[in-house]
Amino acid sequence: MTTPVVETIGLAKRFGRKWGLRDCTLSIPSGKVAALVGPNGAGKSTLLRMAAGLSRPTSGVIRVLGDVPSGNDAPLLKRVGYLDQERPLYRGFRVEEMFRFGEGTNPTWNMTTAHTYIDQLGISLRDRVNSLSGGQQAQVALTMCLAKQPELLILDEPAAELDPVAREDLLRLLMREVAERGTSVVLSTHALGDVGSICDYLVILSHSKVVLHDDLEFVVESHRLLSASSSSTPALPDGVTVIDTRIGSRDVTHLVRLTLPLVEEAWGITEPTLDEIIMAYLRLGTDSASSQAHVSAPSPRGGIS
Amino acid sequence: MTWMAWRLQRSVYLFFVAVGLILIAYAILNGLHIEAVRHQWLGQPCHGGNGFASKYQAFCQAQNNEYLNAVGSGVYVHWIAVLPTTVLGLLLGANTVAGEVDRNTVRTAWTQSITRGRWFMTKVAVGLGSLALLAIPLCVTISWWLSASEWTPRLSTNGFTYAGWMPLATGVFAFAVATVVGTILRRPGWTVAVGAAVMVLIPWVMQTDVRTNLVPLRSTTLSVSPITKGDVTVGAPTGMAPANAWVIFSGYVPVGHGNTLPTWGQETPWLNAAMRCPSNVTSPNGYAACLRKLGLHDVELYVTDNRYWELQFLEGSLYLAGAALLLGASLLLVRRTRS
Repeated sequence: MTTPVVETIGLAKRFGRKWGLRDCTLSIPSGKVAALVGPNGAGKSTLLRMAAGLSRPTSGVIRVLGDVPSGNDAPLLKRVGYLDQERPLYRGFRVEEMFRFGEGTNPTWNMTTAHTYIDQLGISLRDRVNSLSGGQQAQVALTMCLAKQPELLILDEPAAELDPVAREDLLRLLMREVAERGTSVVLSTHALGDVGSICDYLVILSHSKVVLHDDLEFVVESHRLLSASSSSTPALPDGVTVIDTRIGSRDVTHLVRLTLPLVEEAWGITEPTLDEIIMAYLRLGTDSASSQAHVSAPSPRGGIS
Repeated sequence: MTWMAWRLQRSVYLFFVAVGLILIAYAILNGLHIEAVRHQWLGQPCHGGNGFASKYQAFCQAQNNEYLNAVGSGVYVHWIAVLPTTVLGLLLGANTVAGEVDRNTVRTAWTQSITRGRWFMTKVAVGLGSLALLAIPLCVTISWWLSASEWTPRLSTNGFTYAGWMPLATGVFAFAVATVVGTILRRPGWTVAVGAAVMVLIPWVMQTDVRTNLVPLRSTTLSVSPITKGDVTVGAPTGMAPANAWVIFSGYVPVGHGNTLPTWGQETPWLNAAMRCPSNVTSPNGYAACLRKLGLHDVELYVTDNRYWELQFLEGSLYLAGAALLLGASLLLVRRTRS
């Protein structure tokens, strides 16, 4: 069994009196492109910063590539590339100076890769960072992560605020890296479209807690929409956990997670889209406690926390 | 990483180098000017005011004015080494951690393949190295200027802190103060403000309370000898401390008090008692008899000039040891801190 790229057990982080992340237990397998999805303030960046060794947990354990992340562990730092949400590049530097910094601080740095990517993106090495657009800065920052040639890329909203073309370029760059080097990726995103197109593992965070983490394929396979007339609602079948319920004027629809094979004739059964599943889980965090009470049983593969 | 550390401070540092070169040039010209004017004033025909022919009255008055003006400019020149090195130390120290935390660039720096410890030590080494490269020529220049201008003895309150290698030591200390304050406050502006306050306070404490305890003091008892000029007898003090000595205390202490500095509480009643004696100028014999009766004598406590480098070494070492402690504390904080 390969070591998970990110593994947390009861991880929590508190900022003053407010919890940034609570009771987070998950395990992201190696070789995956994992999406971390959740509303603002859900704890995505908090989790990623702890994974990058920039922040220490209040309680619980986090391991990255089998080691506890730390800013003082050079061998682990070498294996992990981190792109911060704010893309904190040195504003007065030229792009080539940023690369020189990368080369000087990373023994595995590949300058050819850096030059190739930046050429493809149409950014000059002589450009100053503060003269680049937000999208170009994100691309330079991502290029720095890629040229480091890490085993794991931790990307905090890499495509945020990018125009569609820049977003496409950035994601293509990322996918090529994954395909060519087999790099594991953990990225946070608000763009649900990106999850389906580039990711194969899903972690949903809501209200500082992990509410779902599993293989994307399994997530889709293990959820169903059950519909019935609201005037004659049949009993729910065995082996389902209701995640979300929508009551219309004529019918009622449950999005359920299956824990047993579904053999059912009373309910109309359809396969939900990934967006519907994600939105149902995100609503789960904002709805009343009664709806959360439906979710209890952890999945044997990933789980509901 | 060394290049990176240099690149981050390059513009600020080069500005200070440019300013430093201008100040060095100014100090050299000023020192040469004071030296030349002093030689003119002390030489023919004015003899430093000690007797000159009346036909040179206007000339010597002009010479005297020029000399006093030149010496007066030393008030600004003697800051030329210590001020830039302290300010540069504060700015570089504030940029070491606080500047990067404030701009969030630590999130980039601390996620490369080098440890935070190495990142910090490299920045500190480059910062201190470049600070020394600026401070050493400034220290040498001001030490020469003090010697050439004879503006004040090198072992005096105004001479000691501002020359020798003290500007370098205080610059290094300022760097360390700003580094540790910046690691805690994480805001460069506040760091410089707090650091500046510390750099006013610490040298003041060092000057008033610490320096006098670093080397043994010597004392000399002043006596007043009557000198008769025509039909007038006046008192002329003798037995004063050597001209280049750093006189720390001049006043009245009981006979047998030794070479220890009197406290404020001791000093005042002794002075008040001696003030009741006749004037030492108009009645030197009465003054001496009065002091004998009170059991007091007029002394100067001083440090001799040949202790200069010993004192420079000791006080400078205190600053450097303090800087080492502060930088060590910063390193521990950096290794533990969140971004």
